[in-house]
Amino acid sequence: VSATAAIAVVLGLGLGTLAFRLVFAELRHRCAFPPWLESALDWVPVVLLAALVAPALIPAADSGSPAPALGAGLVTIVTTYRSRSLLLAVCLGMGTFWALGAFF
Amino acid sequence: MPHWTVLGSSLLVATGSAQFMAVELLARGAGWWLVVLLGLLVNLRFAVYALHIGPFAGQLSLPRRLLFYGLVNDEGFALTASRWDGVGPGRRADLGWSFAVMFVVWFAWQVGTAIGVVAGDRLPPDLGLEMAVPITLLTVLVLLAGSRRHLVVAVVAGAVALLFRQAPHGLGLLAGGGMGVMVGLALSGRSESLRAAGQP
Repeated sequence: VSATAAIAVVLGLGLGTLAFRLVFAELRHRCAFPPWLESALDWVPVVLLAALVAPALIPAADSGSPAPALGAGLVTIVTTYRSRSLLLAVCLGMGTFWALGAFF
Repeated sequence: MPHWTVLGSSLLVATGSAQFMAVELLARGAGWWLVVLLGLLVNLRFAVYALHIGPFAGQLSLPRRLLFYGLVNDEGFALTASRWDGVGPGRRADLGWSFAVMFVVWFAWQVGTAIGVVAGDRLPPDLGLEMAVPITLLTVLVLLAGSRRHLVVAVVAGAVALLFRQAPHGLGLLAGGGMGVMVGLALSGRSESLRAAGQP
């Protein structure tokens, strides 16, 4: 890969992505949006979290045993639901992941 | 690829998905304009984050706002967005906290890149630490998903993201997120307005 192409890609992606952020953030800051768009935006955090988490916790078929990730996910969900404590859930989830990883 | 372009790409682009995709495409001999085009498509999700952040970041002075926009990232957004629920435009959100989280994630990415460039393949293969991020995000998701509607929307978004797991990371987010929002809109259209109920 030539250095020129690499620089072009870095600059193009960097400036382009920054432009997305600037334009849309300022737009929302300055004008009122229609209600349907507002309620669509309300769903964004939930769908984003789910879309980030699912592929990480449900391993691809060819990547070894799925037990550690699945077990950790299950423990995390149950602990969070019952305790509402982020710290406890993350500690137990990671503990499960390491413990199951030692066996599978 | 020279090392300094790797560091520069983390500093300037700072979006893992587009960076990984760009390296893959460049290695396969794609033209730089195609790489930029596809990378921007994958990064379209930042437009949606920006729409969320705009009203709250508006409280900041212009230089701080620009800095904040530059730091925005997937994990930081997912972790802090829950704090903004129910905070209408014009009311103060907990911006200091968001700023700190965004910075920590951004900084960790830079440190990780630097370690990768310097230490390369001398690193121990697998500590299992890559699981810490999804576990944390899962906890936030469970805390945030307070109703059956949330559960349905989360399952749809997760399932679509799984279908797209072979595609570049950002495209799965875009597809899963888009489908989830549409289902969410359909569900909230059937009952009262979400905003009236004060529910995200």
